[in-house]
Amino acid sequence: MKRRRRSLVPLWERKGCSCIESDHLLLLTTLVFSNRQPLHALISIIRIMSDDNMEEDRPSTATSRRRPNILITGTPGVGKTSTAASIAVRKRPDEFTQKPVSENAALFQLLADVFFHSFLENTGKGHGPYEHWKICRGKQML
Amino acid sequence: MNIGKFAEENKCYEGRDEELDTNVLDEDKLLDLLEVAFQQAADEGKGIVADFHVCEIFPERWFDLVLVLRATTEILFDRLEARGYPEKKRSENMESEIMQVILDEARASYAPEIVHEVPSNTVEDLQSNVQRACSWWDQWLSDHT
Repeated sequence: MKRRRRSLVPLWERKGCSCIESDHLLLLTTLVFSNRQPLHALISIIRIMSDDNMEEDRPSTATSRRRPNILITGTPGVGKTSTAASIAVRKRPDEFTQKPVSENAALFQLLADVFFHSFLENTGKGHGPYEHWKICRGKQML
Repeated sequence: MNIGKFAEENKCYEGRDEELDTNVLDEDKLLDLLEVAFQQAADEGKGIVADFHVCEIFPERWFDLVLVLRATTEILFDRLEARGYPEKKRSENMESEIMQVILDEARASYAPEIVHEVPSNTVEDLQSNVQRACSWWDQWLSDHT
């Protein structure tokens, strides 16, 4: 089971502590000698580095979320952003409102998807085409 | 949520690899910021569709479905070339796809039942993947309400 540090920035909020992840010895020295509250700094570092600040990773079986989270992953260039954007666009009404999608909205969605896919096919893949598509779609909506 | 863009906007980088023409990710900073964003979305009753080429750094509990997109080497080569990637970066990505590095990472990091490998070579593949994810989303909602 994976473990990860719960947080590396619980108390200092990274103010003047940019070295916190990379060099804890340097951080300790810096804080103890420069901070007005060296004891507080020391306790903070012990807390950060402590095993108590680690959490066991676990699957999201007992989730209290009302909507699921999806991760689209893959090697750069496989179409992650296009896929994620298309899913998000389709589920947006579901995510932001409980009202059913009207026929006009559904038709518009279909046209937008076809336009987007044609655009992708004609111009290549990657983030650029989607950004362009979003702009085009925004103009259409206006 | 394009996590690469999110990382860029929030300066979650600890350096730059000039040879690969890429930034070096500050994972801890990224995860700390994402934790807040995911919690906020959950509090507002919203879901997140995230895309990123690294999947093993996230806590397992964040995701209910992990789609690993795959492309054939010929198609991927053309796409990366069209993006103007330097040769070394392109070769590393091609090698990663051939060795199915991301798929293995996903399988090692998440429960097997939520990890799905899907082809992403054509527009039809894209439509099919989107349709599949949307159907799954609807099913999830009906199972959890």
